[in-house]
Amino acid sequence: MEESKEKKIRKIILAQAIFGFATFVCCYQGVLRSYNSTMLALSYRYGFTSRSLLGTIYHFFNDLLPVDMMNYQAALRFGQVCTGAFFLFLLWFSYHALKKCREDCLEMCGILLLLFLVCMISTFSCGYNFLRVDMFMILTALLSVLLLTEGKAEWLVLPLSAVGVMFHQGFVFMYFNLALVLLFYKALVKEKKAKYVILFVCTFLAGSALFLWFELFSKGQGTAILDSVVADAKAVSFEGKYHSTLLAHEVLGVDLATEEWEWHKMNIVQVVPYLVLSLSYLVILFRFFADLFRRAKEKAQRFPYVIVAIGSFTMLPDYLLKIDYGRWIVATITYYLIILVALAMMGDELVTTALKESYQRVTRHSWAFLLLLYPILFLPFWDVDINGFMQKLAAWLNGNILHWFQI
Amino acid sequence: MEKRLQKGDVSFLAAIFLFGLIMAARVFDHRMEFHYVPMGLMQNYTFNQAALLGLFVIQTVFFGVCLLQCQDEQKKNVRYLLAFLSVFTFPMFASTAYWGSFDMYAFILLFPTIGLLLWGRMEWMSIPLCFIMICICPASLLGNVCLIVSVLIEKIQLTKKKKYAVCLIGCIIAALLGEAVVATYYHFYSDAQTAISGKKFLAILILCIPYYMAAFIYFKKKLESEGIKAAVALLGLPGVLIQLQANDYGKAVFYGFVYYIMLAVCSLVLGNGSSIAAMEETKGKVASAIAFPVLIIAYPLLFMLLWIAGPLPLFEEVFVGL
Repeated sequence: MEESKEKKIRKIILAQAIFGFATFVCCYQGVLRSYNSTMLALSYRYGFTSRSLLGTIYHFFNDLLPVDMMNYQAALRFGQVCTGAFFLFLLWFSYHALKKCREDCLEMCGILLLLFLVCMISTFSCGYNFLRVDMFMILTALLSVLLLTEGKAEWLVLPLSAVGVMFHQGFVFMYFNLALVLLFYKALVKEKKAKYVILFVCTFLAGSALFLWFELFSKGQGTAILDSVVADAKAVSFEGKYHSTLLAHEVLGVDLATEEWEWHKMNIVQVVPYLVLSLSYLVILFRFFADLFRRAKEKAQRFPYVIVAIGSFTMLPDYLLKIDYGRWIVATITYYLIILVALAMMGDELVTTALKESYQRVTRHSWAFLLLLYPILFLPFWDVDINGFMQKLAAWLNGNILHWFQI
Repeated sequence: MEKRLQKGDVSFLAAIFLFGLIMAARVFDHRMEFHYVPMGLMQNYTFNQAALLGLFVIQTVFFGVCLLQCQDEQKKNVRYLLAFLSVFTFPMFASTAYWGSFDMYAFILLFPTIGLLLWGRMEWMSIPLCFIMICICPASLLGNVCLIVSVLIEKIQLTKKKKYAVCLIGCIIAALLGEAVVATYYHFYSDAQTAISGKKFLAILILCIPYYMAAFIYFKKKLESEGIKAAVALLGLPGVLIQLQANDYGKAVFYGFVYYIMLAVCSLVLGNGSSIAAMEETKGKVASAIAFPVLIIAYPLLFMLLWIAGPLPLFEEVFVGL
């Protein structure tokens, strides 16, 4: 007897929950790294400064709750609560997304969501990214995606995107593209085009204005507040060892770009083998979009999908100017996995058909199931280093063949 | 008519070899621990690199033999089981703790031994190979030799040929002779490693609850059709227990999974009707409970890569400060 859609969704969610839990158990290290604990010391009590929203929330809880949270153990506990809540949200998001997808592409969307879930859980459980602000940026982006796919209270995308930038101004390059591409798509394809155009322009301007404020104008009081911030950073960090480079950049406005050239070289040595090893997925993605463009018979019909395909290009400034390649790759993977699921949720006929075709094309091969195992070899993602595997590979290549970077 | 590998089999073998190499590269650390191996050459870095690569090639050839010998209807099941097996056998001996260990050399001999038994040619080679295996790795008596004995018992049950009974007795005598040689000329050394702690081992035991349920369904079906003959599965326990006794929890997990996966592969390849029926029933029940059956293979890959074979580094900067 044919399974009902609800039963299929429950099976997928059960698989995701069990596998996600195992991923968490294997990746969680019970460590709050100095970079992420130091972020908790920044706060809006010093002015409307960049990356301070998380610290402000933390200080708010410290003031509200009858426990002293200005210590490492409390910070670790805060991280555990936030991370646990985030993972539960991801499961709920997955369930909601599958309910909205058509039954014939349920399996493919289930796979995309499973890959996304495992990427998120492994990356934000491991020591490098535990309580990283990226988690909160992804949360705001996913909430925006939910509102736009539901078609309800879509105006909230503007404040949600603003909140994303307030967590970290890098949001405009990393996760802002999800909301913007969906707004652009809706403006081109759906009814009430004027509404989406206005919302797109306002959201874009709000995000850009906040980004410029945080980048150029928010670091004026640096020296006056440094001692207070350092004291808080020492209190919440393991054995008082805070991340001095972060505070130098965020509080004093020290430009680190000139010191990062060796890291850039290391990034290049890591990303090239990573792209080679990820070739199978790049080919699948390329063929998916080629199929999609082929199915969209006219230029006007094709244009929204071109925007979807190049939506991740907002990451280019980060790839060219900054060194956290692990985080940029997580953002790129998140973009493509979520945007395709979002379009399937909105019932886009061509995307749904192209997803089905891709799935059938890939699963024809006797080794296709290995493609679901393969991503695990690259987890968890780190920050400056893409992951431990690429770090080792790049170190070997550099030490034995290239002799290029000196780290 | 001479059997040939199909195009799908060749592409699968190429894919699994590549996948295995990348898995091994993920955990390989270029560091070699000291192991109590019988020959000084086995502590040579280059020799161990060559031996590791040789293990991967031999293993892939073994996979090829399995696909060649199994029935077409069982190919998909056999491929899944071989991928399941490779999740353990590729990264295990590339990890720092177990690279160059005598278990690695024992497996270099195990695959050809079982491969020849499945292929049905030069099956007498299992006797000298058992002897050499024990001389290198005495603990193989309760691990790898038990597996060889299980496969031979299976062949006896299916073919009723006397030669396999002779082979079985020969393997046991050869193994015991090997133990005597080890006891006489050098000593029994424990090569226990501390890849994972007792707590992590307990966590793995709990995480593997779904596998006990699947194994229960499989062996219940086998018991119904084979009766007491299905008890050969109990031969997998000594290999696990001896590692637990030595506090090598990583190897205990490894031998536990590898024995039962290899036994299932061999049963399917040999065309054991009751194993095939048990496998189909287990597959059906698992597929009705959970989506994406490949997760059964992905699941242990997590604790192999992240715990046993390649633990995540603890971040020194947390302690040193930056």
